[in-house]
Amino acid sequence: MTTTTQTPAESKSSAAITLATFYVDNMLFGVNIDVVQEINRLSDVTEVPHSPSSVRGVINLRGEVVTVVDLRSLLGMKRREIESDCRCVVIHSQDELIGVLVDQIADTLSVPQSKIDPPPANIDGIEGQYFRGVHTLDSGVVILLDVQQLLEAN
Amino acid sequence: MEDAELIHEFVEEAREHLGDVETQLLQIEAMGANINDDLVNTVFRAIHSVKGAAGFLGLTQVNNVAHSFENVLGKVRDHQLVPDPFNVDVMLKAADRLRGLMESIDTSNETDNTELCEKLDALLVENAPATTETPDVPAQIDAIETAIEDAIEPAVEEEETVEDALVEPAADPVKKPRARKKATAKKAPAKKTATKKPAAKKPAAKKTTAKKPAAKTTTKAPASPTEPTPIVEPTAAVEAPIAAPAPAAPAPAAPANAAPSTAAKPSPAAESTIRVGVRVLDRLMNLAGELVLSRNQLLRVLGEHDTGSNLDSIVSGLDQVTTELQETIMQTRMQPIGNVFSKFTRVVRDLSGKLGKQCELRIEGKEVEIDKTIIELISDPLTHLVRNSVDHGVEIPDERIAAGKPAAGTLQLHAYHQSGKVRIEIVDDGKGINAAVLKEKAQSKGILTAEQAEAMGEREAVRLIFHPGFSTAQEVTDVSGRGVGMDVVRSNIEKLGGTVDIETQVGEGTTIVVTLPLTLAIVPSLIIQSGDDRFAIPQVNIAELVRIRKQESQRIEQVNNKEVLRLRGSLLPLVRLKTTLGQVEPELEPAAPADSESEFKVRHIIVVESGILRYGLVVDDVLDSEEIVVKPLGRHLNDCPCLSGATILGDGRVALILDVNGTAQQSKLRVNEEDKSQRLALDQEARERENLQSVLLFRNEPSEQFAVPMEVVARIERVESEQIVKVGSQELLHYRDGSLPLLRLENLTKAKPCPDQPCFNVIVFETGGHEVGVIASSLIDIREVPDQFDATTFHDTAVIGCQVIDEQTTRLLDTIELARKARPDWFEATAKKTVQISAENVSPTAKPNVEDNAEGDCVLLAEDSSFFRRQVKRFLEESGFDVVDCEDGREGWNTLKASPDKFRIVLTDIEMPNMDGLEFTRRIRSENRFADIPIIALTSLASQEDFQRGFDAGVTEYQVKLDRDELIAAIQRYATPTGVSDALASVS
Repeated sequence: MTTTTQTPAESKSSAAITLATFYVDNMLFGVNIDVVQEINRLSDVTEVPHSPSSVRGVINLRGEVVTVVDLRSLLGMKRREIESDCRCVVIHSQDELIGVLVDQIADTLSVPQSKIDPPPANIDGIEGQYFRGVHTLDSGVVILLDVQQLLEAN
Repeated sequence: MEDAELIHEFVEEAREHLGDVETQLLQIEAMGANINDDLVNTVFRAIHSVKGAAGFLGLTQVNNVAHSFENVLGKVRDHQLVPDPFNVDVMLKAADRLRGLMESIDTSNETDNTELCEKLDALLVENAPATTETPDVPAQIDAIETAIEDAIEPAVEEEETVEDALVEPAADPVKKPRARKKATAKKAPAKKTATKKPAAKKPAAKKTTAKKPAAKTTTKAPASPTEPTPIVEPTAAVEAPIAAPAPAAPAPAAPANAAPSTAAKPSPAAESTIRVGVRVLDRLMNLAGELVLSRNQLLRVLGEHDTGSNLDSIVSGLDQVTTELQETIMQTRMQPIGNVFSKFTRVVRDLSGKLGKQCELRIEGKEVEIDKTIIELISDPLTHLVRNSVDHGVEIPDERIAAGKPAAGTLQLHAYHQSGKVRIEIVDDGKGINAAVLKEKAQSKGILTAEQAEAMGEREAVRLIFHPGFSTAQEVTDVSGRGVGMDVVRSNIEKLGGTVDIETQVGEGTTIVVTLPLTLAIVPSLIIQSGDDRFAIPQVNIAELVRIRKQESQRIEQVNNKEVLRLRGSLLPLVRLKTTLGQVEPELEPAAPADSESEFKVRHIIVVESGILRYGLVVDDVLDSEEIVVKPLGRHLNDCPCLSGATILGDGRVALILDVNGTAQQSKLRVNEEDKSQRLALDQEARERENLQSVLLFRNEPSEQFAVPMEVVARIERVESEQIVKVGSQELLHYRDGSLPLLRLENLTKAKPCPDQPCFNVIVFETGGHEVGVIASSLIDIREVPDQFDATTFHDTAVIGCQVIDEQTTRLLDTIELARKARPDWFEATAKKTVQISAENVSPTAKPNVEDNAEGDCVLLAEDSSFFRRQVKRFLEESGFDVVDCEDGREGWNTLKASPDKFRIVLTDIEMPNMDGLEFTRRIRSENRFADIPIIALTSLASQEDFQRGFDAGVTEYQVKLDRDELIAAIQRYATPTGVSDALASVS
C-alpha cells in the first residue's frame, strides 16, 4: 500500500485536499473525498439491457437504486470481470448517487495544493482530459481525477 | 439569488392563499346579503398578504390587482357591498388573474391589468367615501404592511427549527381567526397557516434595521392585549405608520419578546402539522423497505435454526411494527381528493353560466384520501369529464322543464373507497347518451362494421365514446372540445393504473365511474424471469397469462416471419423478451418449430396491453406477483427504451420494471392499423367470456396445493396446536361460545398428511347451517384464476377439478362434499328440512305439476363455462331437479322459446358470449308470458353495481355459483323439484 509523503511543515504551506485513492489497471487515481459518500463491496449487480457500455448495472444501496459505472470503460480501458478486490466508490453527482467500479481501493491521502503538478497530456496512453493533476509519492504518482466531469460526459 | 428564492417562496405561499380564495368567494356568493364576516375576513387577509408581499418584492402589477381587490373585499366586509353573481364574478376574475400572474411571476410586471382594476374599482364607486390615498402611497404602505406581517410572527425568528412551534401565537389577533376558520373548514388547516410563515420570515431578515422597529411599533397596537376586537382594522394599521412613522422607531420590541412564550404552547386549533419534502418521505420509505428486507433475512435465519418460541414473539412484534411503519409512511403521501373537487364548483358555475344552463354541483367524499401524485395527475381528466357532463349531459332549463325535470340540473361528484381502490362517480341527471346514435356514428367513421354494430350491446356501444378518433369535429365546442377526446381521458386514467366506465339511461342521465389505485408508489406487478434476471411487469398492463405446453406448440405460428399465437380465434403477435432485451442474439435462439420439438416443456406467454397495443411477451418463467415500490433509474439509464424504472425485490436485489410500450417499439412490433379495431372487438368478447374465479390457495402437506373458492370461505383463523382438542375421533377448536369441528384433508381425500407444526391455519366454511374448519399447514395466496378446472384427470371425492397454478397442480375442493363426508348427520337433517320447506312452499296452483314431471319443473341453466355447467347441473340433479343446460344466453333463449311451459326457473351466468345474462334476462322479461318466471343470476364476482344492473334487467335473485346450499335453497323457494315432490307425495 502507499504511504503519505508529506510532512506537517508542508501541509501548513498551502491548503491540503484529501483524496480517496484507488487502483485501476495498476494506476493510482485519487478523487476529492468530499464527493465520496462511501465505498462498498460490490454484490448483486443487476444488468440493465440497452444501457451504455460503461454501465455495469444497478445495485440496491439501502433502498435506493444506484447506477454502477465501470471506471475502466470510462477511461477507455478494457472491461474485466468483477473480482473480489473490486470496490464500488459511491459518488455524489448532480443530486444522484453513482457507483464507480474500481479495481482496488487504496489509502486516503492528504495532499497540499502546492504539491500537485499539472497532468501530462496522457498517461500510459490514457486520454488525460479528465486528469486534474498528479501528485508524486515515493512509490509512484497519484492521478487526480475529475470524477464529476467524467460522469457528466458519459 | 436570494430574491429569486424569496419570490419563489412568495409564489408558493400566494398560490396556497389563492387556491382557497376561489371556494371561499363562491361560498360568499351563495350566502348573498347574509355576509359571513369570518369568511370575508379570511379572503381579505389572504389578498392582503399577497398584496403586502408583492409590494415588498416590487411586483407592481400583482400589487395593483391585489390592492383593488382588497378594497372591494373591504367594502364587502363592511357590509357596504352585497355580494351578487356580478361582483363575485369580477372578484373571481381578480383571483384568477392573480393566480395567472403567479404562474409567470417573472413577467408579471409587464402585464396590463388596468381594465380589471378599473372593474374592481367600479364596484367601489357607489357610496364610496373619498379616499385620501394617492397612487404613490400604496407601495410604501405595502412595505410597511409586510413588515407588520413579519413582526407579528416573531416566533419564527426565535424558533426557526421547530415549525411545529409555529402555531398561532396567542398574541396574534390577526392570524388567529383565520386559523380557526380553517380548522373547521379544512382537514389540514394548520399546514397552510404554518407554511405561510417561512415566507414571511425572509422579508424580515432582509429588512434594514431602521425599518424593523417601525414595523414592530405598528404591530404593537393590534397585538396589545387590551385591544378588544380580535381583527385588525387594516385601514387603521395602514394609516398609523403614515401618520407617525418617525416616533414609532424607538418603541420597545416588547411584543416580539413576549410572543415566543405564548407560541411555545400550541393552541388546540392548530393541529401539529409540519411541511416535509417528498424527498424525505421517499427516503423514509426506502429505509422502511430496507427494514422489511432485514426482517425477512432475520426470519430466514431464525427459520434455519429452530429457536425458542421466545424469539418468535419478538420477531412477530418486529414484523408487525415494520409493516405498520411502512403503511404509515405511505399515509404521509395521501391527500384528500377534495383538493381536486373543490375547483369544480367554479368550473360548473362558470360553464353552466356560459351555456345558459343551471347546474348544481353536489360533492360527496371530499375526505377520501389518495396519493399526492395521483391527485395531481387526475385533475385534468376529471375536469374534462365534469365539463363534458355539464356541456353534453345537462340540458338547458326549457328542455328540462319540458321533460318534466327541475330546471336546474344536478351534477354529483362522489368519491369513496372500494376494495382497495378509490372510485369517483360523476353523475348527471341530464339527457343521457343515445347508444343508437353512437353506433351510427361509429359506422360512419368506419370504427364499426354494420354487423358489429348490430351485435353490439347498448353498454358496449356507449363505451364507444372512449374509442380513439371518436370525438368528432362538429361536436367540438369551445367548452368540451379543447382538442382532447374522451380517448385521451381514458388513456390518461389508464396510465395511472385506473379505469373509466360509463353508464347511461336516455332521458335519465349519465354516470361516469373512474376507478383509481390508492397510490402510484406501490404497483402490483408480476415478477418474471428472463435469462438470469428478473423483471417486473405492472399488473395493469397484463391481460392474461397463457401457458403453451409442448403438445400445443402448433398454436404458435409464423406469419410474415413473425411469431404469432393463436388465441381464441385471433392472432396475437409475440415478442421474445430475451431477444428484445439483447440477452441472447436473435440467431442463437432457435426458431419456434425447431426448439418446440426439443427444448421447451411449457412456454410462458404474458398477454400485455397498453392502450391499443396488445401482444404476447414470451418469458422464461413466471415467478410471483408482488407489490413493488417503484424507484427511478439514474440519468445514465435514461435511454433504455424497455424500462420504466426499477424496484427492490424481497431478497434485496434490484429488478427492472418493463415498459410494455417501449418493449414493443424495441422489438419493432407494429400494430396493424386495419384489423386493430376488429381485433379489439374480438378480444373484448374473448375477455368477457373468460370467467375468473377467486380462490384461496393453501397447502396441507407442503408439496400439495389446494384451492377453495373464496365465496365459500367465511373466515380464516390462525390457531396454535394446543388449542385443538380431540373428542373421540373428532378434532375440535374451542372457539368463542362454542366449538368448531375441524377437518383434515388427509382423512377425507387422497391428500398427504399435514405435518405437525406449532401453528395451523383453519379455513372456516359454513355448510348445512354448521360451521366447519379445514386445517391447512400454510396459506399461499388469494388468486383470480380462470374457471377452467380439469374435472377428468384427477378423480377424488370432494375434489371438483385440477388446474396448474404457479406450476403446481392445484386441487379445487368441494367444501360441501367434504363436510358431507365428515358429518353425514348434518346433511340428513338438512334433507328433512328441505322437504319441510318445500312442503310449505307448494302452493295449490303448483300442485298439479307434481303429477307431471316433464312440464314446468325443469331448470334452465345457461352457463358458458363447461366446468361450472357440469358442477351446477350435477348438484342440481342430485337434489332432484331436472336440468336443461345451454352454453350461452342465445341458446338459452331459443330453448326457452321452444318450450315455454317446460321451465319453472331460469339460472343464468352473467358474462357469456353471443348473448350475456343481462340481455338474456331482458329478452325473457320483454315477453309477457315469462313475466313471472324466476331468474337467478349466478355469479362468481360481482359488485353492488353489477347487482343493480342485474336487478334492473329483471333478475330475481343473485346466487354465488359454487355455494350449493344457498343456491338449492333459493331454487326451492321458487320451484318444486321433482324428486322432493315425489318424496312429498309419498309422505302424504
